[in-house]
Amino acid sequence: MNPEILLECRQVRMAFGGVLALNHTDLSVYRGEILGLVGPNGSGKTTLINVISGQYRPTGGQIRFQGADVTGARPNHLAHLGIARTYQIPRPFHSFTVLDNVAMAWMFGRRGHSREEARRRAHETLAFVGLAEKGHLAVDQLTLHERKFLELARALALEPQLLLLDEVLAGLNPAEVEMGLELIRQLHRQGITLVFVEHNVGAVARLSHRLAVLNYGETIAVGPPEAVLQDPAVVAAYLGEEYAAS
Amino acid sequence: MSPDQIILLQSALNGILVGSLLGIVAMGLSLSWGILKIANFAHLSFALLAAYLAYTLIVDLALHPAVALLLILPLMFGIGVGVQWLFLHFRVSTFTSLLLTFGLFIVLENLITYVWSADTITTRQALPPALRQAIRFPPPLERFFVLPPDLLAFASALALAGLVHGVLHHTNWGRGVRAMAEDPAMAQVFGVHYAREALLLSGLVTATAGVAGVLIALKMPLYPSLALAWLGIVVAAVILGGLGNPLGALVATALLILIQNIWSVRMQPSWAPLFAFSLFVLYLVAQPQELRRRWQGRRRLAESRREARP
Amino acid sequence: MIRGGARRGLLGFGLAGGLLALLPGLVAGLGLGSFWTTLGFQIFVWVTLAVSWNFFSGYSGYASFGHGAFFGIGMYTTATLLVRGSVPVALALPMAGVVAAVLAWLVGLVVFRLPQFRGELFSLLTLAMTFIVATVVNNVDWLDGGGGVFLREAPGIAPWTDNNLRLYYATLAIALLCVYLAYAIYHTRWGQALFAIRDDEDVADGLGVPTLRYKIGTFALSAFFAGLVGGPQALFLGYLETATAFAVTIPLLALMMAILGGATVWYGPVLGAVLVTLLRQLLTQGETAELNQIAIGLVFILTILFMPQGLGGLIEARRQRP
Repeated sequence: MNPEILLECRQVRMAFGGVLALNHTDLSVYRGEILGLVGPNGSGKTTLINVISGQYRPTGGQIRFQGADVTGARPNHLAHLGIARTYQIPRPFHSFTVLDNVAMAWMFGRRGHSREEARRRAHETLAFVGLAEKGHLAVDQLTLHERKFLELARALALEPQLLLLDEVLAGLNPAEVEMGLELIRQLHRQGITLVFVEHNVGAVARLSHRLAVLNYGETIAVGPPEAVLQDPAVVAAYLGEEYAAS
Repeated sequence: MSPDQIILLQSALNGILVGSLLGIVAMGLSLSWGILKIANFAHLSFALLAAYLAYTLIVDLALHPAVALLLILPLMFGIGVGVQWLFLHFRVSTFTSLLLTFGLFIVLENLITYVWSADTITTRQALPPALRQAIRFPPPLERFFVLPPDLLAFASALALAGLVHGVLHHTNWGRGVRAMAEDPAMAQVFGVHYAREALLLSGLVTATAGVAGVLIALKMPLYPSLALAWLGIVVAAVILGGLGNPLGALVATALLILIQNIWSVRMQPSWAPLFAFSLFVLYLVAQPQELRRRWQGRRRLAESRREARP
Repeated sequence: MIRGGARRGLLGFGLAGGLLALLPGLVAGLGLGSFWTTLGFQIFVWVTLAVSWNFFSGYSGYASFGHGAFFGIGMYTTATLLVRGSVPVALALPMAGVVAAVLAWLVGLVVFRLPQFRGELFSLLTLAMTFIVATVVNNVDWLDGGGGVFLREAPGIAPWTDNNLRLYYATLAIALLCVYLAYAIYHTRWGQALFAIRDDEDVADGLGVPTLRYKIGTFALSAFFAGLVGGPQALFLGYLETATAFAVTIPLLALMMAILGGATVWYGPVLGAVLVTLLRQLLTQGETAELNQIAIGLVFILTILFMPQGLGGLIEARRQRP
């Protein structure tokens, strides 16, 4: 595995008024890997994604991408550098068709294509996620899993180097989960680095090269999935201290 | 004490008194905006409408102001319920309510002009003598005076503020209403029926506009664009005092007018309106980061909550 | 620079412009009075106000209540330049637009970075801006100073005020340009960016849209046109005072026209402006001005409740149906 560090979070702090969502979080993501990010509810996983993607400016600490300091950079700048993310609850543009949703990313992403070119490419992206025939539809006509895949397609249209997936499998039935996992494997083969936030620890463990566990805004364990899941600190975080001790 | 100082202090005193009167209007708007998530600009028009109605009742029908108040309150309550019903029925967002109530504002201003004409009118002559006699302070402050309507307004404002605060924080109903503002779906689990409470609250809030209106009719001359003249101060006060914080709105209004009055004594009065607006703008621009995120969070929450509303 | 989507419209606009330009000649030939050129002038002014408001606020969702400030500044800039600066009219008019645009640009620079200024707070802020500007103009002697401004004293304005023909042509040109811009924005990436901002600004940001640049730029352009058309209005009125120049009913009417006509389509505000202006004309013949305002206010409320997409929205929906 390529040891180049693509993304580095150093001592990231994120405070909302009195609440400290991220407490000196450290995380490194290697180029080409699939990193699973798990943790109990409220551990700060989505907050971390929001900070990395530029939606929140961290209260403290540093974010480095490809060796450069990008702390506090605007989301659109990060998108042009090659960071894309999906949302836990899909947020498509409701007044655009499915195709135009993806075309937006082609138009304003790294290479800024024209409308016609963007639409052409959007069609290819939709085909990749299996939504080719749905391009002309309004977003409300899609099922949940289709919206999630649309979300993914839109992120892919940015031609990202780093893709942050926020609970992309949540709410999907087993067949759809398999489809999702297959897409993610394909993305990995194309060379995209993936950070994969999930509640479904089993699915994440199967797919990830490394697993990072957050608890109360801190990284409590990082490493190969099997080792991490047996780490007493991790068990304690999920199931309580007494269980871990037993 | 020099004449200048006397003028200054009297001006400050008047400022607090008038400020408390307008503060009643600001309280209502603050509650409406903070709890019902309706940015109701027509609230100012309702107050003015009540003032004009009070004028007709007191001057044309020679009724005592207290009687006028008794007649106006239920009418205002009804208007509040009606308007809120429309908002609920159409599942109006806070922003849409802004547009709608602005439209209503224009309609009401023109309605008032149509019915009562654009001339400035006053109830002064028809008031019982007790209300027209200036009350002087006891010595050594005998140079200062207040007019009974002002005193009445000040007392009413304090009483209402106390009442509102007491109800919101020390009664179950009040707590339920505040919970409703935070999380309608959750509140419903605890037995707070959103629609019913919203209608009730809106009725009560508009009734306070009625109280303000009657007091305004007693205190000052009326003209149709009065509501527009109040708009800046009231909105600034509501935001500076914190949405949903009626005491804050009251205090902010009083302070704003107090400062405006003091300014007008020394400086050119025509610059005075600038003050409230600039303060309002600066306050919002200067929000610290956490408060910014809370605004952001509030907005997204409010949007998603609208779906959850029973 | 004018890409495919926008180029197609040029021919249509050229034709429309030509027809409208010939209209006064036709009217004069038929012996109808200057009432019609005046009406035309008023329609073009409101079309410009409504369309310029809409290609920023309607498309992006940032409903500005401050259009009146830009219009008013345009009026006062023109008046001041003409009366105190003896600047030729042809120069004063564009300068009015520039001044308004600069103000918008400065405001946008500060306000559009701050997330608390979305939705109703942005609207209120722009309203506050109008009051602030009005107060300043009212107090600064060389602008208004409280006494109003008489344009008749200005040198060289006679050809502009003798009959309304020049005003007709000037505002026709301005309106055409403005509507064409709305059309062009709508059909290009610029419009897509604004609509994305309206739908979900944070997501748009995350997809690489330079939201700040689009917001500031479009806001300034919108203000430019409001200011630009303020000049002819000032010449038409002949006398300015801050209370009427910065009246809150002006931005409200522009907003109403845009929403009634359809805020999400480029031609919506044109429909709205024409309809409402004609309606107002009709109604002033009858009863009092108040009733006509009430009627318009009620129509606005009803539109928001029952037909928020406006006429334009309805038309577009019909067109989509296979």
